[in-house]
Amino acid sequence: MHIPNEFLDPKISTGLIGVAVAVLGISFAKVKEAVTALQPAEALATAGRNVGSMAGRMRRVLTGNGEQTIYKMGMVAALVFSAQMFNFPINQGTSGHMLGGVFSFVILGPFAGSIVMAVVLLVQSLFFADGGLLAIGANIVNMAVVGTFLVYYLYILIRKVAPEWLAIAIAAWLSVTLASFACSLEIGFSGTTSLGLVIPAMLKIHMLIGVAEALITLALVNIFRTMLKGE
Amino acid sequence: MKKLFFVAVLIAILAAFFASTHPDGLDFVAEKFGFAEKGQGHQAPMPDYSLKFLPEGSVSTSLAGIAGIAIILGIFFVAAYVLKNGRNKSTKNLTGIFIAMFLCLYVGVSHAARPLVTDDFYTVAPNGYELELGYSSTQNLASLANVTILSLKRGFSPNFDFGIEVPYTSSTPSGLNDMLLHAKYRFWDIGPDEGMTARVDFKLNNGSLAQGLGSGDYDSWLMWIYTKKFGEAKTHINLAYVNVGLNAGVQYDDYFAYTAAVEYPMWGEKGDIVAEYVANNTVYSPNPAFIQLGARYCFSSSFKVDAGYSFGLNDYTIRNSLTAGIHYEF
Repeated sequence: MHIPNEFLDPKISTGLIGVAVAVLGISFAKVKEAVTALQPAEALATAGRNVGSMAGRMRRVLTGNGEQTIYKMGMVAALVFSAQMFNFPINQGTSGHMLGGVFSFVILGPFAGSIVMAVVLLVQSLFFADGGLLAIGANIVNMAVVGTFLVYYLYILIRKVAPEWLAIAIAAWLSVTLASFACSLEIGFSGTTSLGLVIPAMLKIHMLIGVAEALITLALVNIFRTMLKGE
Repeated sequence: MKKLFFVAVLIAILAAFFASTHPDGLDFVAEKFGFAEKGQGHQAPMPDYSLKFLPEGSVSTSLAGIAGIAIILGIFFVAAYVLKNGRNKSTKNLTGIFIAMFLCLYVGVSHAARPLVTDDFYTVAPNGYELELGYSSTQNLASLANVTILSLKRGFSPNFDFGIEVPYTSSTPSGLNDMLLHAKYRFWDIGPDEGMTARVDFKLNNGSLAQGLGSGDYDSWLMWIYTKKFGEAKTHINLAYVNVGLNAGVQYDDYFAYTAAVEYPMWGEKGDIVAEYVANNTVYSPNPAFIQLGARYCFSSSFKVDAGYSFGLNDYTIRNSLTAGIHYEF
């Protein structure tokens, strides 16, 4: 679902970069708050760190748990990246691949989850030409904001009435379907093709891919939790 | 948690061998409504998850996948390290190295220019300017030097250019280093990519000798440059006779400096990889020598980004040096 530059109107691409930066900014602030703790700068000075003129002030320092969280983010990102390489056949000459948004927020929460998705998309675009550079905003909005951030709040609602595994499965299906809907809106409004054509075509395929997404997400969450048990 | 790394690698390898090659959902829709050809894709080091120097196939894709996993883990590890240690010298260096590595990988130059020390036989077009800005961090035997070099050249005739180079050291002791004036005259065009150029350099003595920023003397260089293309690769050879000026009343011996460089357009017009050998026969024994490896990326024929890594072959030269910079013609 990685959109190349040429499918989008440059105005839409730039606007969506703005949206992506805004949401990721919030996520960054939240994650930084979560992985660091306020400590007086003197405590750092005794630990032999360079604090310069910070004496007498409070500083944010990475906590032990915070460090583990960042490593965990890296691992989730690596798993999402490799899972996205795995295209599985859908029907009649079409394939789909995992999105991974639900997997990342189930493990890490919505803020770290959306950052993980954005890093994966950025690396894919920069190093592998998968998704345009100008279209990075659109891809982040579709997969990291809609497919991860927004779906997290739907997941919370579903979780109130359904057991966890069912909520994860429904959220995973929703994340692919909603991301493809956002993707078709962007392409439609860019004038690449008409909205009336692209929306039903995209939804039809991605509702099927969503079923596979639900199954893979359940499997990956299970693998991740089993392997991290006791750590 | 380390076990998960192998799970990720395993998935990437399995994907390379067994993934469906059919177009994904979006590509399928694009083909169906006839706008698939619009998506050109852009230049990247590993387009479509394949390594360019290997034949297309599962091996190339799985290696590209492992490289991707390494890049992603690298980003988070560097983030953790920088957050943990705050802003100090080593985190700054690590960030610098990471950016330089990124430039090396992502990015690559079309003719001899930064990061090479070796010069090419080309001269700047008449009335044109060439601006180069480079930053290098060099570990010497006993000290670390961070130097920013600004170089501006102007073409005065089809085969003559004149330039000035201003190096500034930002590590301690900081200050301006000796500046360099140079003039190049291309005297023999054997072909479009083969020929000879003479270059004369004057090194000023504006850098403080007491602080170790300058050599204290005016040196003059007479350099002969030869460029030849073998297939796609361009090679440059520089031979220079260096006349060392009087330094605080002491006369040092003159010496020869010699360098050789190869540039290969790994990514076509978009970027090159470069390698060079630099040495001289000053009084030190063994003679100082180092090797530099680097890459350039051309955003256009006039704007290039580059990065390089050099390592010394003996104790009388640099230990390790990383450099990154830009080249702009206008």
